[in-house]
Amino acid sequence: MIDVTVKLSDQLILKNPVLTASGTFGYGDEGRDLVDVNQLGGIVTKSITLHPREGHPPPRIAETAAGMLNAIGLANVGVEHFCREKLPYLAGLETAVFVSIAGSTMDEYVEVLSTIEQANLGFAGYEINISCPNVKKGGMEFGVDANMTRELTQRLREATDRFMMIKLSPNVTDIGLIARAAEQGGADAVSAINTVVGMDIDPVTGNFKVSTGLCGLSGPAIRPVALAAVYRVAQAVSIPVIGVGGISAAEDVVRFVRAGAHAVQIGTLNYRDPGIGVKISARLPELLRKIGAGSLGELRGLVN
Amino acid sequence: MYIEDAIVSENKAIAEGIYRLDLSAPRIAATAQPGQFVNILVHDDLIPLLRRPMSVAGVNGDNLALIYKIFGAGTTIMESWASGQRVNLLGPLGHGWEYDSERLPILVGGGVGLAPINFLHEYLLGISKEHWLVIGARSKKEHFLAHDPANGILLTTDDGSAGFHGTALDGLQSVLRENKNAPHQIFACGPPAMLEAIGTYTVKAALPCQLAVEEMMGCGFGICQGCSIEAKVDADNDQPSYGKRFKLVCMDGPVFHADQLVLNHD
Repeated sequence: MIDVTVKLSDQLILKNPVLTASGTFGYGDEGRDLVDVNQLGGIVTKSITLHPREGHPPPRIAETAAGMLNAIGLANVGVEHFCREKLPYLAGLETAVFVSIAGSTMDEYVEVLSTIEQANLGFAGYEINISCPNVKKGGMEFGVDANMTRELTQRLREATDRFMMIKLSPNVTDIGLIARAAEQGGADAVSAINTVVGMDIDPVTGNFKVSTGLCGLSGPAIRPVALAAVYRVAQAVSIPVIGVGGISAAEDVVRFVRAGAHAVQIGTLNYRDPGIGVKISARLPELLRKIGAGSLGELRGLVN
Repeated sequence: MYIEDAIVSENKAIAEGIYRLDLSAPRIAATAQPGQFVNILVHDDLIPLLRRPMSVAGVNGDNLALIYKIFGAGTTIMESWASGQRVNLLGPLGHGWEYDSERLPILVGGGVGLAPINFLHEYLLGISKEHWLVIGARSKKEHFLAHDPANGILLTTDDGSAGFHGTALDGLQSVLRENKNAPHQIFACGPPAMLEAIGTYTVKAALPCQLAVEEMMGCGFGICQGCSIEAKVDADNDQPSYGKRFKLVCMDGPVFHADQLVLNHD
């Protein structure tokens, strides 16, 4: 029997290492006609902010070679609506649910998290989005500054006992430094990476392909960037690292685990195939058998 | 909404640069309504990465028809499909046309915007409902139906090489002049400039009009929030786009009432 479970903490064991990435699987209920989400290792929700956000004007997305540019602008229902309409469904799922939260000030992050805590429902924990490149205030502002990352993590740590992972931006000079700041602040894990700042321009019209001009690149195009980031982060911290960036196959999961990740999140590929996370996790035992590994964990960090 | 492996039964050019693809997709065909679309995975490789959304052009038993123009990487691959090719489809998606049986339907299509118009046309023929079909093109070569005003089919061409010399909007206005007294409803799909012209005209004239729109799309069922379109309608945030200012083409559309949309961005 090949073991694909992942122990993230003494309290939190994932049934498999495949989660959905924030902002790429809505609130977990949109695709339920297409896929049994309970077969996933976990779900990370769309980022929640204090107030509802309408997001950016169109066009919000553009396709690139094996990638996708986006500037959605953290469109979301807001924390109050989330707690009332979305969280009860999520709390009833038989998979680990991580609520992603974002804010434009530290107080706002704390208020969003505290509001969700007050709902007093059962779910695994949080992912703190300090790395969204597509909002003017907050978001990446925190994720590029080690001191702010540490302080924000500390303040949120005081507000919850649940599992808390910090989502890191690749748009920094030393991602290991930011990861260490999150660890020092009390994070239980870090996830890496959020989108890479990118842009495309129509050569004929001169129009930006995405309305904001600068936007975020995701998909298989950034997988090598993500793999390098995970490798560096895993060297820098002793808490679990969750790899994110262009994962499209079981082989990619093993790549990230060998780079040092405990688990992974699938993002852009959900748009192409909402069932891909379940398919990849189902294929893992066969792949591990082929590699000659009895568990996923024994491959962690094994690279030469 | 299903994910279904469809099988190509026929794929052929029906006019200059315009192709018709017929696929066997029993589950999607059984539930697709005129105006809905499917999201097509053109192959297993990662370039192009995203599915291609396309309106259903008709349903015949287990078969689904699509109409496309070769435009980019996705449609170039589609053109190469022979019968027997397996194609992964997600659908049917979105909201279709809202048909009111008390009114005279006037259908206006242009370019590949013909697909959802054609599906509605076939549906109305199937229930023997009298209606008008106005199809606009640049020239005769792009048309695949015959100009037949006696039977409610009006072709327009920009260059006057077939049918009515003028735009699709000119054709619509001529049909409206002839049917002044009948309560009617207009259904339009086509290139952005055509939709803007028809939408602006019908809103100004207070005529009931629905538009099927296109926008760059990621997933097709609301999870990516990519296909936003600016809307005028106020509603609370318990809707697919999470907000008031925008709607999602994939979930709220692709069919919208013309007076719900912000049509001019100048």
